[in-house]
Amino acid sequence: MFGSKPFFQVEPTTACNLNCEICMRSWLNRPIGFMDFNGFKKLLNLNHPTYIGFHGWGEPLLHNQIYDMIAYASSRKITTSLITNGTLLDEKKIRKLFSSGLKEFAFGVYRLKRLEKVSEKILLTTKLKKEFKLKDPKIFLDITVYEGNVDEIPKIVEEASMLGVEAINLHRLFNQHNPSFKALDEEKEAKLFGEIKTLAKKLKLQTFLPSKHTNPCRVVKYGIYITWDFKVTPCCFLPKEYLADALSAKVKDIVKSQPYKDFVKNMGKHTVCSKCII
Amino acid sequence: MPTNDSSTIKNLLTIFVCAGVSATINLSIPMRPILNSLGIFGPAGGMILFGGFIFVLWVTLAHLITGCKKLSGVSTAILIPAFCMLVSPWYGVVDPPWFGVYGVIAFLVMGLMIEFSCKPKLSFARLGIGGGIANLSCLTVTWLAIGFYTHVWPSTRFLPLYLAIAFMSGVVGAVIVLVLTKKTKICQS
Ligand SMILES: C[S@@+](CC[C@H](N)C(=O)[O-])C[C@H]1O[C@@H](n2cnc3c(N)ncnc32)[C@H](O)[C@@H]1O
Ligand code: SF4
Ligand code: SF4
Repeated sequence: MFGSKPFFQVEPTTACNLNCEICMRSWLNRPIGFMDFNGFKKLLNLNHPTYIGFHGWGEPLLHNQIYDMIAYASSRKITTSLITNGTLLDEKKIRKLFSSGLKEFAFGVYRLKRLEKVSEKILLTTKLKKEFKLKDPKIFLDITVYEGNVDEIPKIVEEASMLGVEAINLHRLFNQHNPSFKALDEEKEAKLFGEIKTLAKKLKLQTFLPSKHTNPCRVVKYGIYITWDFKVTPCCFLPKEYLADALSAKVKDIVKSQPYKDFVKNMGKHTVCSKCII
Repeated sequence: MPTNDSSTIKNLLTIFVCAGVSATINLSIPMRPILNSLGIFGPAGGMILFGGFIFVLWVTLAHLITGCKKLSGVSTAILIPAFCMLVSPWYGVVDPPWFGVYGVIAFLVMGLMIEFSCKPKLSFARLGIGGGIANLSCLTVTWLAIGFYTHVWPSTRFLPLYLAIAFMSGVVGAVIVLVLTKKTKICQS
């Protein structure tokens, strides 16, 4: 289970055009940079993941070779997924993303107001997909759930359906640097998820909800994080937990290494993992 | 003896049916898992491996059934991407919006090659090599178009292997048709 990592989360850039209050990006104090396309190709020549999620602490559409990166991964029969804040999209970019072979096209939202700001872009995306009679990509809303937005979630889901979105992915907020943003407690979460399931069924929206948090977590069991400067780390919440250089070693060897084994063994005591609810 | 009119209708029907079957097979084969399991990475991986069976075979069949009528192979060939594009854009590329033109060009070249290989008389070697070249040329135009617009090119390491597989696929597709038509005597020539 820990030996193969079918899911790669790749961070195309740490640059962003927004500064969302829930986001860890500004707390992480990391240099701003863009993943090198040739390095990305090398990464895929060294490894054979089945799925790549193009999203880290930054806005992927600011990377001017993001389309080439997705197309390259798609040509290697890798399922590709992208999360964008949507603000930079226009028809040309949507066409390029469609043409890249992208399988999952998600809009990251966490407040109704924020959704309203990009609703035109979402509508354009779903409209173009229908117009071009495309099977892929599946258009998602990637919704971050926490104490401060719990009451808005049903409305966000209804809005998603009106915009022609096909699926919703709800996930928990985690920000170890800013305790003012709290995840829901178990009871509230169960109530909300139950309500959302019924609503989404009525609206014919495919729904993805997070499973119960475990130790070791599901992220570490199946995935690995690659930062824009090709550092391998356990997950996006630990971008500084350096395990190895992605360009000089295969991930399947990195996860057999002592530093990785030690990390997994000690997750329960890890300062961040011990608080994580993802 | 069929009249001129009835043979024209029969020829047109043959062209449409063969193109329709080819497009339907192309749209319904689960390419991704098959190519994944064989380690064939694209672009146009389906054409590399199955081009001979999905496309060359049906274009050659239509051309032979119509008695090698001029342009019957070409018409069948260009109808295939046209039918596929009714369902979804060519290789899913919508930037530029007219990318589908490359699909038509690629198949036009395929149709021409197949027609050329049927002249002046049918032989296994000539038709087989023609089918191989037809699949290869269709693949080359498709690779150039995808490479130019999405910057994805076939791996140089595997290029000779891909070319060999595509050629063989075309050869086998064309030879199957000749065997079938000879056995069933459905060929008009
Ligand atoms: C980090 S963003 C990167 C992609 C893009 N910039 C966006 O905002 O969609 C990916 C997803 O994570 C969500 N997100 C932001 N901060 C988060 C946090 N602290 N915990 C969990 N998810 C978070 C975003 O709302 C978005 O849905
Ligand atoms: S959530 Fe996305 S858009 Fe917002 S600041 Fe973070 S990276 Fe940027
Ligand atoms: S912080 Fe630790 S527990 Fe949380 S997702 Fe990352 S590895 Fe898993």
